This record gives sequence, C-alpha cells and structure tokens, in this order.
Amino acid sequence: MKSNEHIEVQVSPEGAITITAHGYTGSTCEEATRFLEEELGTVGRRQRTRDWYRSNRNTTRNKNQNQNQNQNSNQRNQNT
Amino acid sequence: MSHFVTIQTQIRDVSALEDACAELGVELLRDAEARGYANQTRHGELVVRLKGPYDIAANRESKTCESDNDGDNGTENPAPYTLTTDWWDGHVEKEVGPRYGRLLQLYGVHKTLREARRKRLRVTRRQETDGSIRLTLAA
Repeated sequence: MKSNEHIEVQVSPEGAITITAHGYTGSTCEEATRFLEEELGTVGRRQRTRDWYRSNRNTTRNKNQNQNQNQNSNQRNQNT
Repeated sequence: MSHFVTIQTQIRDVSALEDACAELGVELLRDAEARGYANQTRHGELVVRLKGPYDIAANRESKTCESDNDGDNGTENPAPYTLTTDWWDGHVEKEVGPRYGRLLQLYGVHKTLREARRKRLRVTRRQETDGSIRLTLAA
C-alpha cells in the first residue's frame, strides 16, 4: 500500500458494510479490497466512484468538442 | 481509480463474533441451549447469552456452500451462521438492535479489524453521528 492509498469501511447500525478504496491506480484498486469483501459476506453492489469518472472524463470531453466543431462548420456552410 | 462495494454481512468467523459479543458485554457459548419464551430452548452450535430472558442461537446449514470454482483459490468458504431468537416483547431487540443490527455491525467491525491486523494495516475507528462506524485502513 502506498502512502496515499487507503480503504474505508463503513458499517451501518443495521450491519450493512460499504467498502471504498481511495488513491489506487488501475486494477490495483479492486485487488486492494478483495481480501475484505470475501471475508465479510456476500458482495451486493460494485460501483465506480467520482475519481474513476474524473480520470475518464477527458476523453469524452474531447469527443464532444469535436462534435461541436463539426456542427459549427455545418452551420457556416449553410450560411454561405 | 476508485470504487466502492456494498456487502451483506455474513457471520462465518467465530473469533470475530466473540469480539463483538465482548464489546456488547454478553457471553458467547459453544454447543449450548438458547433460552426462549415459556422455558422453551433451542440448541445452538453457538449461543449468545443475553442479559435478558432470551438468547440467540447460531447454527450453520449442515451442507457446506459449494463455492464457484475460481481456479486460483481452492479453499471453500464455510457456510454462514443463521441466527434464531425470540423477539417477543422486545427483550432481545433492546440488547442487539432490530434484526440483530447492532450485533451484525460489531461483527463487521471486529472482522475488519482482524483482517486488517493480518495484513498489518493501521486502523482508525470513528463513531459517526448516524450510528454507523467508520474504519480507515492504511499502511
């Protein structure tokens, strides 16, 4: 585990457990919490957090910009 | 990359259950009779001996869980313990919460502490205002 890596385990008064991994890169993230998941019970739901989407957002934004540019050039073509 | 996982707690580790009982201030007995309404008893592989008139029995299904064959891991997860008690008049609920909630919560906390210790991770424990307990594991 690197210095910025940590795992948060929240246990509700009803006994439901949420495990969150912070600061991991790539596939080490899901490996990091596996030792707990298997021991604690049955895994119900797995979801990627905002950090994950943040690192993937750049690619989608570039795609959108390209689309906008295409639209702009289309409009210009219509105007002329 | 980060992710979170929600888990339905299952009791499989007797030592962690013992820790949870210790924190609740109740005793965990092995191979004992759980007290119920009108002097009825129910046998338990494990029995949580409560302070009130009724106890909690914990038993495993006799058949072991066939785990999916992952290939990399030959060890089978043992079957989880099922809890039984007499909820009449709220005696048990007063001590372990509705649907064993407080007992399951402390089991989850102590099971996590044990696994963290095994991995030599540092743990900080914090009580949240909504009643949940937050553990932070770091190197």
